[in-house]
Amino acid sequence: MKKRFTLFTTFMLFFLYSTINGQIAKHEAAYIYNFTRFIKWPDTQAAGDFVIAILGKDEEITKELSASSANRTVGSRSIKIKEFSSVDEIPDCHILFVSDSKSIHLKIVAQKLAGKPIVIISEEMQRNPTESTINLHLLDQKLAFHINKMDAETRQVIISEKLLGLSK
Amino acid sequence: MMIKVLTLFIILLFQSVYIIELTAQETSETDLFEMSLEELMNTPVTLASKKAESSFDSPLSTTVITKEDIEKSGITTVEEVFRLVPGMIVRQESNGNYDIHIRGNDNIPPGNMSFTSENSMTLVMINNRKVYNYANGGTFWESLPISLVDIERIEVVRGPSTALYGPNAVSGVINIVTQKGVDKAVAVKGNVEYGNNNTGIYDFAIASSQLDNKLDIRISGNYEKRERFNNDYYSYALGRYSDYLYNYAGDIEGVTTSFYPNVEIAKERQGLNGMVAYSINDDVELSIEGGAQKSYSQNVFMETMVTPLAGRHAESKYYNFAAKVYELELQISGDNGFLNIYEGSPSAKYDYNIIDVNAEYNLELNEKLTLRPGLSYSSAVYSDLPYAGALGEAYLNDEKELSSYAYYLRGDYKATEKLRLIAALRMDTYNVPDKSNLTYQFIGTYKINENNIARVSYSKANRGAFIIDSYTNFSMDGGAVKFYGNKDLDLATMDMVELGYRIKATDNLSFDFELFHSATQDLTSFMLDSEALNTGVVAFNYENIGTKSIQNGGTVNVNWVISPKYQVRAWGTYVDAQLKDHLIKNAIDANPYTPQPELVIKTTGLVEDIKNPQTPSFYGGISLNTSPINKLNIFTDVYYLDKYTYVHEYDYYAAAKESLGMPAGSGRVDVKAKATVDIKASYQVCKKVKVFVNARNLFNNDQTEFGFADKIGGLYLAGINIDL
Repeated sequence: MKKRFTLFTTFMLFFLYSTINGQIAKHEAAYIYNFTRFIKWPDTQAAGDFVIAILGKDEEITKELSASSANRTVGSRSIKIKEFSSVDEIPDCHILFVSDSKSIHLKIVAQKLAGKPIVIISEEMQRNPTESTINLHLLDQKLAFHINKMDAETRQVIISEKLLGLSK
Repeated sequence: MMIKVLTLFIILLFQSVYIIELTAQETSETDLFEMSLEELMNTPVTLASKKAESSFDSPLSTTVITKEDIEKSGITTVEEVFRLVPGMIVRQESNGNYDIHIRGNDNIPPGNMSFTSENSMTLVMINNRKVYNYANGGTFWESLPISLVDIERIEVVRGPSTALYGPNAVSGVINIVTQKGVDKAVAVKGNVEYGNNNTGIYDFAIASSQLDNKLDIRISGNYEKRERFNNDYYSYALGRYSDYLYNYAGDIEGVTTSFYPNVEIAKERQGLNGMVAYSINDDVELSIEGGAQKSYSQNVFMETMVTPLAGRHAESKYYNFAAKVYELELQISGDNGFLNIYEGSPSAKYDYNIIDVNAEYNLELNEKLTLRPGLSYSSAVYSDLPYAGALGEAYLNDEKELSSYAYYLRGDYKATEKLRLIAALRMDTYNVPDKSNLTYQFIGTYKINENNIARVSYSKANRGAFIIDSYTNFSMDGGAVKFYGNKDLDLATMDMVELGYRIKATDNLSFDFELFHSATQDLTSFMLDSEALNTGVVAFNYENIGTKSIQNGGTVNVNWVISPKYQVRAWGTYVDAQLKDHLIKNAIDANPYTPQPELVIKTTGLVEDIKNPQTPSFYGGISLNTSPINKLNIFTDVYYLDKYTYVHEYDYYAAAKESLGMPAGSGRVDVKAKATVDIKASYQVCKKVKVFVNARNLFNNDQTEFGFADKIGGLYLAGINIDL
C-alpha cells in the first residue's frame, strides 16, 4: 500500500512543478488574423473598426486576440475585440467566434445572422457544423480549418482560392 | 520489476526537466502571429489541452481516445486501447485477447465458473450499434468486424448509464465511432505490422467523398493472426500447466491437441466493412453500414471444467441504418450469424439474430431547456436446434428470444450560465423476466469559472437477462447432472453516486478528479438444488445471489502538454471493493456410496463480508508522447495493475480433496502486480508514409495477467503506415 502511494505521489509531483504557456487559443487567434487577409467583406462593411466578436465571457481566445490586436490592422482599420454573453446581444461585427463550449448556441446564432455578411467561426472537433462559415479543428496534432463554401456565398463574403485550397 | 518501473519514471522525470527548458526556448523563439497560414498549419498544437477543453464541460466521467492517439501509441488491437483510459482494468489472457472491466465489479461471486469473470456490465457499441453477447453476457472483442484503421475515436463513459443508453450499460458505455467523410476524391489508409509469435496485423481502407462532400463512401478490410506464448494449458486438477487435460476428478481426458485443434493460435480474425453516407441537405442525413467477420480466439470465457482457456468461433454479418431528418434520429441495426463459444463441446453452438431499433427526437424548447424523448425495441434470438443432436446435448435444445421495448426521456436544463441540470428516465419492459424496470440518472454540473467545473451525479442502471441464465436446459454426464435456467430472475442493478471536479490549472495542464460509491446487487449464479439432491438428483438452477458489491474509489487523471512536441498523460484509480453477504460454499460428496467421491458445490447457508479478491486496489497508467525532431514520434506508456487473487470454482473441489487426503490441484492463484511498458517509434519517410518499430511489454515480463491463463511475453513488431 505504501509503495502504491509513493508511486502515485511521484506521479503527481511529476506534473505539478511547472507553469506552461498556452498554445491552442493562441493558434486559433493567429488563424483568425490570417483569415482576415484572405476574406473580402462587402463594401457595406467597409467603414469603421474591424470587429471580432466572441460569444462567452472571459474566453481564452478573447485574451489572445486582445493581447495582439493593439498593433494590428485589417487593411487600414483598427481591430476591436468584443465579447457578448447572450445570443440576444450579438454586436455588429465582421467575424463571430463560437467556442466549442458554446456550440450549443451555434444554431440560434446562425439563424439570427442568416444572410448577414458575418463570418461565423466555430471550433468543433468531431464534425464540421453546417451552421458556421469556418470550423477550426485538430488534425494530426495540428490546427486545421474547414470552409463551408455554401454558407460563405449566402453571406456575400468572398473567400480567396488560396484559403479554399487549404480547407480540410 | 519495481526497480525497472522506477528507473523508467526517473528517465521520464529527467526528460521532462530537459523538455521544460526546451519549451521556454521554443516559445521565446516562435511568434505564431508572424506565421503564414501554411506555417501555422504545419505547427503542431496541443492535443490534450484541446481535448480537455472540448470535454471539459462533459457532465459525465468520460474519456475520448482519438485515431491520432491510437496511431501514435502503437496499440495493436481495439482492446488494448483501454490501457490508455482512466478507470479501466485491462488484463491480457492470451496474445491479443483481453479481459476488460470499467472500475472492477469483476468475477462476482468469486469461486464460480469462468464466464463469471467476463465483464457483462458494460455496453459496447460501434456507431451506436450494440455489439453484445446475449447468450451469457459480455462482448466478444475479437468478433468486432472493424479494426484500428476504421476508428475515428472511442468514447468511454464510466458509471451506470442505462437511462441514457439502455440495458447492460451498468458499469459504463464504450462507443466506437468509425471514420466517415475524408473530404477528397480518393483516400487510402493502411497499417501493416509483423512481429514475434507469428503476430501479423493487416488493415486497409479506401474512402471517397463526392458531390461536394455530400456523399461519403468507405470500404475497409482487416486480417489479424497471433500465436500464444504457451503451448500447454493449466490443469485445475494438477495445479500446474500440462500438455494433457484432466477433469475435476483428476481423470485424464487426453492430450491437449485432441481437444484444441488450434493449440498455438491465440487469435485469428478477418473483417470486411462498407459504409455509404449521404447528406441530402443540412437537415436530412442518411447512412448505411454493413459488413461481415469471421474470428477465432482462445480466451477465458466458457467453462470447460478442465482448463481456463476455451476456443471460440464466430461468424457474423451486420447492418446499421441511421437517418437524421430534421430533429428526428432513427437507427435500425442488427447482426446475425453463428457462434461456437466452446470449441470441442457439442453443447455451445448457436445461430443468432439480433435487431435493435431506436428513435429519438430533439426538442429545443428554448435556449435553456432541451428535451430528448425516445423509443427503443430490441430482440435477440438464439437457437441451438440445428446443433443439438438426437440426444439433446445442447445448452438450450431450443430456439429462444429475449426482447424488450423502452421509452425514455432526457432533459437538459441550463438553469444559469454556470449551473446545468440533466435528468434521464427510462422504462424498459422485458419478455424475460416478465416485468418493467425503471432506471434513472440525475446530473448537476456547476462551472465555477472557465477553468473549474464541479459535477455530481446519482444513477441507477440494470443489466438485461441472458439466454443461458433464462433458458438453460442442459444435461451432462449422461443425464446425471442437470442445469436449468430461470425466467424470473431479478435483473442485476447498480446504484452509484459520483462527485467530479475538473481543473484547468494552466492552458496546458488539467486535472480531472472522480470519487465514486457504487452498490451492485441481484447478481446471478448456478446454485445446487438441495431438494432435488435429497432425491438423488444433482441439479443446478440459476438463482439470484444475496451478495452485494460495494465499491468506494477515486480516479485522478492528469493531462499535461509540456510543449507542442511533448505531451504527458497519467491516471490512477484506487478502489476499495467489498462483497457483503458473500455466500460460503463447500464441495460435498453427492454420492457417498461410490468408491470415488462425486463432489458437488453447495452453499452452507452462511455468509461473510469479504474484500473482492479479483479487483486490484490500484491500477493506473502514464504515457509520454514526444516528437524530438519533426519526422520522428516516440510514444512510451506504462500500464500498472496491482496484485489480486483469482478464485475459480475448482477452489472448493481442491479444499474438499485436500480434506479427503487426495491430490488437490488448485483453483486459486495470487496474481502479482505487473507494470507493462510499451514503446513505439515512428518515422515519417514522406508526407504519406510512416515506418515504425513497436514493442508491447518492452521488458518481456512474461508473468500471467489473468488467473490461470497464458503467460504474456513481449511482442516486438515492425510495420508501415500509409495515409494517402
